[in-house]
Amino acid sequence: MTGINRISAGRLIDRGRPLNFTFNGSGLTGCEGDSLASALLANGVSTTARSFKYHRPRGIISCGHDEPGTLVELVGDQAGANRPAPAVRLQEGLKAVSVNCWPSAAFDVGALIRPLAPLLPAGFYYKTFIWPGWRVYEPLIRRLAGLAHAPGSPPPDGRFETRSWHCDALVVGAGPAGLSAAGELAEAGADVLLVDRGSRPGGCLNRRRTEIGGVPGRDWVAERSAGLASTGRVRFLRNAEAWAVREDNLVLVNERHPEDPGVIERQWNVRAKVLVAATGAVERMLVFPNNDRPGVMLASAIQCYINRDGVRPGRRAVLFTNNDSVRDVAGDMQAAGIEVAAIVDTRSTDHRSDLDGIRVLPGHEITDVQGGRRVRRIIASPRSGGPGVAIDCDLLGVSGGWDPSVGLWSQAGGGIAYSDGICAFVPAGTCRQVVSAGAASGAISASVARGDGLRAGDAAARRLGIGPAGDGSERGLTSGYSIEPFWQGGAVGRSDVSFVDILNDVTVADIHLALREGFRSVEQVKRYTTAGMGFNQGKTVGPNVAGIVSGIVNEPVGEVGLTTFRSPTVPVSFGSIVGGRRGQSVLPYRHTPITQWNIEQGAVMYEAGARWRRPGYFPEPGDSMQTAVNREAAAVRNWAGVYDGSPLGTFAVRGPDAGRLLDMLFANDVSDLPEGNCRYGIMLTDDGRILDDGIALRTGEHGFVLSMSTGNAPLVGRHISKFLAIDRPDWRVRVTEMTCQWMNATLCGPKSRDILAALGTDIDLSREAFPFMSYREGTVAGLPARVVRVSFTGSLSFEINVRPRDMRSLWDAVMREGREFGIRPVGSEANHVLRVEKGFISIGHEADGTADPYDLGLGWLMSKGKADFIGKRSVELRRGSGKPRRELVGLLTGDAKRLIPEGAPITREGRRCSAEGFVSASVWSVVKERSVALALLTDGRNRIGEEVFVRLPDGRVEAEVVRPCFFDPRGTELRS
Amino acid sequence: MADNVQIRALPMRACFDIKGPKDVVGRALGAVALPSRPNTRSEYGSVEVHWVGPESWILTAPIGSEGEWIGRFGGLSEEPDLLALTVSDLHSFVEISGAHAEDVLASAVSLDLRRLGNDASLFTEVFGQRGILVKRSGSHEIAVENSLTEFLLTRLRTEAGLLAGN
Repeated sequence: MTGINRISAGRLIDRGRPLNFTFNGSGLTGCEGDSLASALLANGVSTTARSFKYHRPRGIISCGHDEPGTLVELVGDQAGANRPAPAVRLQEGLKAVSVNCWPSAAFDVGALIRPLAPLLPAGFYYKTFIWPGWRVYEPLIRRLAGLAHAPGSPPPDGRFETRSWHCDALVVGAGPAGLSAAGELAEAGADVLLVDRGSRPGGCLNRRRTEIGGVPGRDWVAERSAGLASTGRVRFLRNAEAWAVREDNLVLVNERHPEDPGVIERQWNVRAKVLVAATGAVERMLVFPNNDRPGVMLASAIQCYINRDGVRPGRRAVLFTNNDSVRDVAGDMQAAGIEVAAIVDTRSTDHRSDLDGIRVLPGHEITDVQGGRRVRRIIASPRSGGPGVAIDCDLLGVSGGWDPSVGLWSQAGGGIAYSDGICAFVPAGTCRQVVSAGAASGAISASVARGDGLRAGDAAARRLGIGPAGDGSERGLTSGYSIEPFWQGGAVGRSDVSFVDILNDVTVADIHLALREGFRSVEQVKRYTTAGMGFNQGKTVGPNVAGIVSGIVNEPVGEVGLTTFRSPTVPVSFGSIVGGRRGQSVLPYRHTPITQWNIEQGAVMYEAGARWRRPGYFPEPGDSMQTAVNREAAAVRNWAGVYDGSPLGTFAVRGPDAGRLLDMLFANDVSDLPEGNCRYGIMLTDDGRILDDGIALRTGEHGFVLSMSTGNAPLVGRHISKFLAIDRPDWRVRVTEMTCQWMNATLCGPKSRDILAALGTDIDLSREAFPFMSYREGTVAGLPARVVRVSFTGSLSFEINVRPRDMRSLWDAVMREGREFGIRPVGSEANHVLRVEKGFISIGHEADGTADPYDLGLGWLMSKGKADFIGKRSVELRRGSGKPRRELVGLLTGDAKRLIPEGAPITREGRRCSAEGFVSASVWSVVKERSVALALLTDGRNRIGEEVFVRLPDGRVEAEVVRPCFFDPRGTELRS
Repeated sequence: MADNVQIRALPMRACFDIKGPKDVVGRALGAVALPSRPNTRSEYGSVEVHWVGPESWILTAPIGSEGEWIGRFGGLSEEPDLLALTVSDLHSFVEISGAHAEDVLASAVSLDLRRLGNDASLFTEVFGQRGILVKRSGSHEIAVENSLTEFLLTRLRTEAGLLAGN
C-alpha cells in the first residue's frame, strides 16, 4: 500500500515499484511514476507549505509546474530550491522539506504574523523602511525573504549538459494538437522535434477519459505516437520544457531526467525554421474568500491525480465553476469514490443535463471556505443575494475556465487579444515563424484541439514551403465549451483573504489599494503588488488581475490587457543554463611550452591578461614574495635573467598599404622604418587615449610584424580589423594574429650577450652589427630564430623568438648555458619592478584609460609630419583647452622603507578631499635600495621637487615629486 | 555514450594561414584548387585548403612537406598582396569519432552538423573558443589554438562521459 488515498485507477504509476521518501522528516512511500505532490496526496498530507507573506497553511493546488501552493526544498544528493511539488519526480530516497515555515508546515511559528496582516498590505515595505534607513531593516528582511535555500554545493553525481539542435519544425506540446501538427509536418517531409513536459505524449488526454474521433484518447495517442515514430522524421523529447524564444526562432528547451544517467539536466538550444506552439491551456483559479485553504484544488488537478496517479485527494467534494469543463471531472470523481456534494455554478442557466444525481446550485458563488489546515465546509450564496448554504466537504474543486498558454507565442512577437467566447486572452493575428495550435490558440476541447493541430501543422508546413495550398488563417472552434466571466466573488469585506496570486499572497484588497494609489496599468499593478511575479510570470494570475482591474476601472478586460510574458516561462535550474561552462571552462587559461616548467620550479602563477598564465615569482624555501622578487630583479640588473615573453600579442601585417595602415594606427611614423629595424610606438583610441604600446618590426618592403602587450592583444586585433573593415576596406593590406606561432625567451641583464653567444648563434652580436632596436634572423642553439634587441626592463636584452615546437629546447639550453653567468628565471613581479625603476609605462597602470601620450612624457611620439592618425584630432582638441592635466612623475617617500599602496590617491595635505593624482605603481627598487613609485599628478612636471601627500585609510605618506626614472636615465645600459 | 565516442589528439601537420585576392592565392597554390563555396574545403592529394572567410584560407599538409611549402610561399615574396604565414604550431588538431560523436559535438558548436557534407570545413566557435571544424566521413576534426588543446580535450571527454563532469 502506498498511501491511504491510493485507488485502483492511475494509468501512469507502477504500484509494483514502491519508493521510499521523506517529507519534513517523516518517512512515506509512493510509487514509481508518482510526483512528490501525488505521493503526498496519496499519503493524506494536506498541509504541505506555508504562504510567502502571511504564513497561511497551503496545500497542493495544481498538478503541474504552475503550482502556486507548494514549493519545496530538496535536500541531499538531489538538492534543489523552490521546486513545485507536482514537478518533482519521486525517486527512492528523495528528501523534501516545506519552505517558509518553522518548525513544520503543520505548525509554523511564523504564523504569529497573521494578526498583523492588516498592517502589511501591498507596498508596505516601500513606505515603512524609510526611517532611519533601509540598512537597519535589511538584515532581518533578507533573512525573512526568499523561500528555499540554494544548494551549497554542486550535485555529487552527474553533470549538466548543453546541446544545439536544428530542425525544420519544433512542436512544443504533445497533446492532441501537438501530435496532430507533428504528424502533418512529418507527412509533408519536415524534420520535426517534438517536445513535451510530460513523461509521455498525450497532454490532457493523460488525465481525461475522453474519446477522439470515437477512439479512446489513450488509444489515439498510442496510434499517433507510433505513426510519428514510423516516419523517421520526428524526434520526441519527453520531460522537456520549452522556456524561452529568442531571436530567429532560437528556442531554449530544458530536458529533465535525460536517458543518459550521467546527465542531470540537458539544455537544448533549438534552431527551428518554424515553431508550433501547442502548449495547451492552464485552468484558472477563481477568486473568492479563503480560496487558498488546503483542500482547494483546480478541478483538472483532481482529475489528473485520480486518472493519472490513482490518488483520491478527498472523500466529499464540492465543485465551483463558471464553465462546462467540470462535467467530466465530476464523473471521474464519482467513479473514484468521491462523493460530489454539489456543483456551485456562477452561471444562472441550468447546466445539469448530464450531471444526474449531483446537486447543482446555479447562480451561486462561494463566499467562504472554512477550515484550518484542511477544508471543512464551504458557504455557497446566491449571486443575487440571500442566505447562503453551508456544505460540509474536505475537497473543493475549482475551475474558472482555461487560459491558453501564450507565453512562447508572445515572446516570439505574436499579438494577444481578449476572446469573449472563452473569456481568455488568445493569440491574435499571425507571427512569421510561429504557429499556435490547439488549446494554446483557444481551441479548448480535445477533439477541436486535434482538428486545430491539423490546421496548424498544415500552416507550418506551408511556411516551410512544403505544405498544401491554403492560407492557414482559420482558427479552431470552441464547440462543447461555454463559460461566463467571473473575476471576483465574495463580499467586499472579505477581499483581504480572496487571493488573486496565491504564490505571492496578493489579495483582491491589494489590487484595490494599488489602484487607489494611482497605479492604473496592469504593469504598474504587478510591480506594486507583486501579483504575477516570480516563476509564475503571470500565467495563472494575469487574467484574474486583468478582470478585477477591469471591474474597478470600468474598462473592458481586453483593454486592460496582460503583463509582458518573459522567459523563463517555467522555473529552470541555473545548472541547466550553465551546462558545462563552469570554472576555467568558461575562460580557459592559455599556456606556453614553458608553463609546465614554471610550475615545476615552484613558480607562483598568475593570469597575466588575455587568459595567459605566467609566473609571478619563483620563491625558494622560506622566501617571502619580496625576497624572491628582489633576487630576480637584482639578477637582471647585475647578471642575467630570462622570462617567457611568448604571450606578447603578435601580428603579421603585409600589403602595399601596410605602411600606410601602421602610420594610421600608430601616433608616430612607422612606414619609414628601415628593414631589419624596430620602433617603439603607441596606438590611440578614437578619443585620443592610449590604447596600447608595442614594437613594430620591418620585415620587408611590404611587411611588418607588430609585438603588442599581452593583455591588449585581442583588443588591438579587433581595433585593426574594425578599422580595415569599416574605415578603409579598399586598402590593400592583410593582417593575421600569430601570437601562438612564435614563442620567445627574453634574455636580459649585462651578461645576456655572453649567454646568447654561449648558446651558439650565427648572428653577429656586436653592438655595432646588432644595435638596439633592430632584429636579426639566424640560428640560436641550432634552432631557427628571430632575435630582437628591445628592452622592457631597461637592461641589455635579447628577445629570442622560436617556433613553439622548439621553445622548450631553447629554454633548457638558456638555463644550462646561463648557469655560469648567474641567470635566473624572472616572473611578472620582478618585471614590474624593473620597468618602474626605468620609468617605462604599463597599460593599465600609467596608461589608465584617461592618459594621452603627452601626459606620460611621450609627446615626442606624436608625429608632427603626418596629416592624420587615429586619435590625433581628439588629443589636439583636448589639449587645446590649456587646462592642467595629470602627468607622469616619480615619487620618493620620506621614509625610504615605506612602500605606498598602488592606487592610493594624492590629495592636498593628505586631506579627505578630491584627489590631484594617484600612485600608479610602487615597488622596492633593487638599484636604489629604497621604495620608489610612479604617479599621475596634476601639472606634475611643473611640480618636480615639491612635497605631496598620499592619503591612506589610516593616515598619510609624505613624498617628494621627482623625475619618473630611477635607473640609467641616459639609456646606456639597454644600448650597451 | 562513453563507449561510442573516441577522442584523440592528432599529430602536428603543416598549416599555413593564407590571405589575399583569389587569383593571387590561386597562382601561389598551383594545382591545389581553392574551395568553391564558403564553409567547405578542397583537397589535392594529402593537401587541403579550408575556407576561413572572404580571401582567407588555411592550407594543411603533412608536416614533412612544411619546408617545401615555406619555400614555395617564400618564393612569392615579390607578390605584395599575398600574406602566407606558417601557422603549424598555432593550430592543434583533435579527432572525434564514433556513433555518438555528433551528440558530443552538438554541445561544442551551435551549427547544424547533420546537414553538413563531408567536404565541410567551418571556421567557428568550439566551446566558445575560435576554431575550425572539419567534417570527414566517419569522423570530425577540430583545430584550436595550441594552448587550448588540453581544454578542448577535457571538455570533449567530459561531454562524452569519459571524464567525471560537473
